[in-house]
Amino acid sequence: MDSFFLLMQGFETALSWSNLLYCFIGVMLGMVIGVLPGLGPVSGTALLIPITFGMEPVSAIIMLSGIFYGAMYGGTITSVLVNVPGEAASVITCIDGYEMTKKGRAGAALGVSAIGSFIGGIVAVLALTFVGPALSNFALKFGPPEFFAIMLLGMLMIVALMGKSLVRGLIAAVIGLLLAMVGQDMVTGEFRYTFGSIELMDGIDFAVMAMGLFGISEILLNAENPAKVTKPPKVKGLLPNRGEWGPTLKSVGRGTGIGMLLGVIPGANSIIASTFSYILEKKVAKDPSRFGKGAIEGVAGPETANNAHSGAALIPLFSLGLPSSPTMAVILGAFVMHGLTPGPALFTKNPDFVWGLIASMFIGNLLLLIMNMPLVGMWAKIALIPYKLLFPIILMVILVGTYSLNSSLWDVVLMLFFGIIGYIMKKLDIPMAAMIVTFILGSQLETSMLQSLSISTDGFLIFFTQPISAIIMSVALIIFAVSIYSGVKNKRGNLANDVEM
Amino acid sequence: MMSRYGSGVWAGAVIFLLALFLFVLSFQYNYSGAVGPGPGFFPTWLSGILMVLSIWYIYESMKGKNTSSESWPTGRSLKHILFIIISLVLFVILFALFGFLVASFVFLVVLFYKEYKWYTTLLMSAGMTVLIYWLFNTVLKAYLPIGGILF
Repeated sequence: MDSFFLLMQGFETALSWSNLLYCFIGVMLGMVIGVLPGLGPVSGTALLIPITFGMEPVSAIIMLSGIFYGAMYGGTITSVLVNVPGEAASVITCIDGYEMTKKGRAGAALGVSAIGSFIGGIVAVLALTFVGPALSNFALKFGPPEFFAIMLLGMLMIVALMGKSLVRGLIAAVIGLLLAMVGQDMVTGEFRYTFGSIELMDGIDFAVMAMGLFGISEILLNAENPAKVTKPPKVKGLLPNRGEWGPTLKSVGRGTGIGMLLGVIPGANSIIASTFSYILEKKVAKDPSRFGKGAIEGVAGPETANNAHSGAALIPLFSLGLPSSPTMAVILGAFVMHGLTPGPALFTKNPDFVWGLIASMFIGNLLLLIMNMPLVGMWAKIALIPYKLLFPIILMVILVGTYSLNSSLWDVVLMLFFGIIGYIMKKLDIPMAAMIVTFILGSQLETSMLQSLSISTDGFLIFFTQPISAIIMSVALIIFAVSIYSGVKNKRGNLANDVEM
Repeated sequence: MMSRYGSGVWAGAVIFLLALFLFVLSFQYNYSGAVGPGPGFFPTWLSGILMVLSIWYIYESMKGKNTSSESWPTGRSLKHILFIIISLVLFVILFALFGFLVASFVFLVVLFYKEYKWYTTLLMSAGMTVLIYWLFNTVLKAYLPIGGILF
């Protein structure tokens, strides 16, 4: 019941005028980013980090999280109306969503998506409210070896689950770790890989890297094959037929379960959640042949799953400090920038912050439901903003945003460099997701290893003599072995969606 | 060569050279320290592992396994991408020389010019520049220089 009272206090924080405004701005921007094809939640959150620079930490994170879960709602609209997914997790919604639109049922498709997203989102935030503190309480007992093991597990999961080729995932992960080495060593104070330049002495700024890798590279990729958005049809009626309520709500329930389960697993991104949900809906349906021809369950399930996923993804971030996806890594970067360390101590050290943020997510989901039900037609029009007008403005925001971080043109140059690297990585199918997550965890991984060794009496064996860390390490090794096996046997590819979510 | 082996081989080779370079550099840092591993421990192992991985990557690409399904841009799209990259570089140079206002205006004109009529282009670029300047300087309190090296 503790959580409940703390949550009520959180609402006090979240309901202050300024935080309410930032929450509103956040979910609104999230919707816009979701609706616009060619701008996803990762690049969206990354390019808005500098804007939050001067804000209160709690307001900044409220806004950034709002962008993240708001984008999940927005992505649906263009998928359903014009068959262009606004963000990657909504790709699967195109299949049945667009078919429903062709039959004149766009309203029902959007209606169930909004309701499903709301239910999935709220249940996931409820899980965060009650599971988060419990998990972080448990993790408070963790010492350096356990944290080392958890980070290693998280990194290996991401490598194992992302991309077509295991070796490319590993390459990305190792490069990320090496980039984290640049700058002053935390323990001895020695400068590593700085090549005598003053700028590199502080290491590579996370925001600079994220804006380049996700912002610039995405613009370059879109320049190749711009998404063509046709005029969306008019939306009439937002509720499903009377007979459809039962099956719809059941698929919403299943979608919530799948989304939450996959949300806490590092590397299982929201597109995996929505794909799984679609497959499941097709399996349990009495008449699977309806799928692909406008089955309402094929819209409700996946849309719920990706929203439940985005809420649940915050659980490992808040309680363990483990980002499970690039967007979570960007939000973790924002935490660090505002002087907060996610991890077990967050709930006890910064309760105002955590509970304010969690409360804001209840409010944000409610705002999104309102925005999506009666106002859905208005959002569809945003997708019509021509890209040729939009992309120079986005570039401008990235450029100025990067500069404003440290008033340094060097950062801008570095950011552009990462932009081109990101583009090349995308072309070579080397998963950026693995690189950004290992980059942000790199120095912690090193520190926790050194701390473990300093308390250890028998060197590296400490990771296997402590029970909890031994279990986590074994799981990590098993996952690694399985992914090598599947790589050798060429069984990868079923989940081979390196979608940077 | 490109078509026979694919870009994976070349990428692998570049990564190998990078890894080798970092590996050699890592010997400057002490391999062992007070509690065992020193500041050189991670760099040495990581760059060493990266060398092995890059060889594996080259091997995989030569065998044609798990190759990337993305294709490299050619013709018009290649030109478009290079155009964007060049205008970004131009922005940085102008920013250093003349400050934000000039750089932003020219950058936007260059990108809008092909798509819109000249007077729309000029108006939009000027308006957008002033708006961003105002937004960052007053609302977000991030100072953007209006002068550079040259004036």
